[in-house]
Amino acid sequence: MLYSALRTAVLRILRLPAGPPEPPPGGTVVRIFNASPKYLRYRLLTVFIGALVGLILSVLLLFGALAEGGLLWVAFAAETLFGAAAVFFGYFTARLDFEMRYYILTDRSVRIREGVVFLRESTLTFANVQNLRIRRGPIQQLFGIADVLVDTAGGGSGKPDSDTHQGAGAHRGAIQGIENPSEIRDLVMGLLRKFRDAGLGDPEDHARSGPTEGEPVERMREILAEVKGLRMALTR
Amino acid sequence: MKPEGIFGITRPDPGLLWIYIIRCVLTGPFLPILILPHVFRYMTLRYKFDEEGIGVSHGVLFRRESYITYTRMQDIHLSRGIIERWFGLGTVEVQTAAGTSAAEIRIEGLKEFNELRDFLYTRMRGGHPAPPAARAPEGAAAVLAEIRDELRALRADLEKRRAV
Repeated sequence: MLYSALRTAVLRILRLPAGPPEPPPGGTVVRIFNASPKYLRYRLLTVFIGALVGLILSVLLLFGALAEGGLLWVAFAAETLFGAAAVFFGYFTARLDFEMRYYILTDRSVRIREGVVFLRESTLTFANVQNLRIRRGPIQQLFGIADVLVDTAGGGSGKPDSDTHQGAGAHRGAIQGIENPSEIRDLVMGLLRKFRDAGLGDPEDHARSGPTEGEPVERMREILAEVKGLRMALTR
Repeated sequence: MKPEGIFGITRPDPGLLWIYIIRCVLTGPFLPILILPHVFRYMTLRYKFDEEGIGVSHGVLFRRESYITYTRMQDIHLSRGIIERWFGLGTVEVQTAAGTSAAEIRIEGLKEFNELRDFLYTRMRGGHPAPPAARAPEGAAAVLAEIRDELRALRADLEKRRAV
């Protein structure tokens, strides 16, 4: 209740759009989905650990203040207030980040919306996708979630696994925190297959194999049969 | 918005100058150092959209001009920070397959960021329906059928003559 009221206020102040982003024009939308609720729990884990550390510190300061008094009371009050605010803020942003996260798959592209303070929408067409993989760290494994990374061509500084704060490097779309990574991967793979020239390969190599199928070939066979018959008729 | 509307964009929205100023103010002591380059950047920033690609240029002392073609675009990112959202503006970042992780072209300070993104999307590689794969020219089947009929008739004639 408190959360939803606060959420509405924050969304208005931050001018955040509430619904899912517009799908890219032209294509048909295959699927619109969000991160798994487990992703929220995964994000809240860090908030929880932080809260725990803060609590321990508060208790230690309280004991110190009870024994020594004086300045330690001020430290205790400041730490507790600051800690509570940080935990609240952490919880709020984690939850908002989870709720504002959208993934849209169309038959031609993937669009990823993420971020609360810094809103970012990445659009990658499948024709440009080079690489598709699943990443799952030990803690993610514990929570039963994984990321599907969609890479396009182009370099950059940083290791292959490194992400910016937003979760997506420059030439990457990261579908983060989903429970069914292989299903999504296969879905994207299936969509990718329709683009035979996906990536930086030379499209001319295999797309121009010429008129080798369908009606014309059938007609040619018939002509061949006719010509054979003609020759037979002449040489009889 | 029609493509003509996009082609007509040459300058960022005046709100961009305010965004620059607010950002510079937020850096505190660095304000005097940062403010001039940003004001100059805003004053000299020019966009150019044509049939083939996008050009962005800015700078007074060090003039920078970038141009990339639509078909070479790899990723399109729309990013909007808080200040930008307050002004109702957005930044469209376009990347090619070149070896940098920073965007090759940043089109800042546009009110029409959504329209621009859609426009770029429909022109980038894979954003529009793929041209039909190479096929036999139209009517080839009909011509082949005609040849077949012709040959058939020829054989029939030959067989008839032989029979006589």
